Amino acid sequence: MNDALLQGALVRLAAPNPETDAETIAAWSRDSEFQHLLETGVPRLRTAGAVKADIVEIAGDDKPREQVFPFVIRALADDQLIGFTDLEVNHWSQRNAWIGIGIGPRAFWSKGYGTDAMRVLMRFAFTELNLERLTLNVFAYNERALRSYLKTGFQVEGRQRERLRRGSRRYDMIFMGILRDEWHGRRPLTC
Amino acid sequence: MTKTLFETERVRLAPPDPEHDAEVESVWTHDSGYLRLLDAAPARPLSPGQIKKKYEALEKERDKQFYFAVRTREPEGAGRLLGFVQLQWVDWLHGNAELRLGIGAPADRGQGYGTEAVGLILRYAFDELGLHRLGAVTYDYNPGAARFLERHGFRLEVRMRQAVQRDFRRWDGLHYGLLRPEWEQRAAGDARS
Repeated sequence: MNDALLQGALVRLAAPNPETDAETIAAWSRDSEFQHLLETGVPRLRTAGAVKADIVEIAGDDKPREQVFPFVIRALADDQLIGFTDLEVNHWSQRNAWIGIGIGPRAFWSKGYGTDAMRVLMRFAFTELNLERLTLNVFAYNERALRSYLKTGFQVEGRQRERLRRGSRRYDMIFMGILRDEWHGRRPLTC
Repeated sequence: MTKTLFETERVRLAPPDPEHDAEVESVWTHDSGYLRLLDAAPARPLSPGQIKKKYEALEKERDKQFYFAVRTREPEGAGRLLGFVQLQWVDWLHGNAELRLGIGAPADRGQGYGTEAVGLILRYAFDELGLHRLGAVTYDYNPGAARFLERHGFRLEVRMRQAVQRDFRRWDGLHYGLLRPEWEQRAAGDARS
């Protein structure tokens, strides 16, 4: 349990377990605001069976994927499942990866759990995967996530104008990135 | 002035013809310079058989992939393959897609074929598919593509710092965007002139 690489101050990253995690993750899909903050797709209610199949597809023992690294986020205090995160290397030759992260239960929002998980994932990306940069995007209406990413050292690199439509309004998609050297310079403070 | 969705003065958009096009496109993939101008994937030559599989994969995703071969109009019915133009990852919910364009043979570049093809695909994207925004990506080692996009109204929106490793250094990714009202204004201007 005391894995220094995958453990932060508040959370640890663990392997998604299709047997024990699917029901909890499926329940988060009932929160449409969570889904609007998380992804561009149409919010859909998901069954535990569908989530289980997805976990097996992405993280199953029989299908290890060289480019996708999925984790669940567990609170150190009681090991409760509170979120998920994944990292996808688009081309290994370019040493760049895309990150996604979500904290499901609202009781764990705005308390530093996501920021802590992101710091652990960054350490994994730069020290274990030897990447040169990390990329993520955040929807312009998700100010909480934007603040968290800035705290971990990501910089805003631009915005795709009017990329998203929610109801009758359009919103920008903000692109952020952090380079290996920038992360290394901050490391004594953050990890 | 463009009267049809699929034809300009010199080029037309057509579905890929696997029997003939795969051979031609396979030759292009042996030009690493061309592949590096297209995207950040490792340059890798493909056999005609592999190219055919690519066409089949595109056909299976035809609800979100609009891929056209770009051919010369002459001779009628048997035009020469010049390249391709593609709207990929069509996101119907938000009205967004990514533009890709390639003119394969070095001798065909710089002849204005790309300009004619992009005029067609922009009209197709905004007028036929009803999209709101088109994105396009290039890298700062390809200033020709950046100028091309800017000439067609695209604006630089994101500079992804040091996104790509090539020729012993890292290069920025340049993400461009064009919105439907911007295109409409330009298209109206072109119609007047």
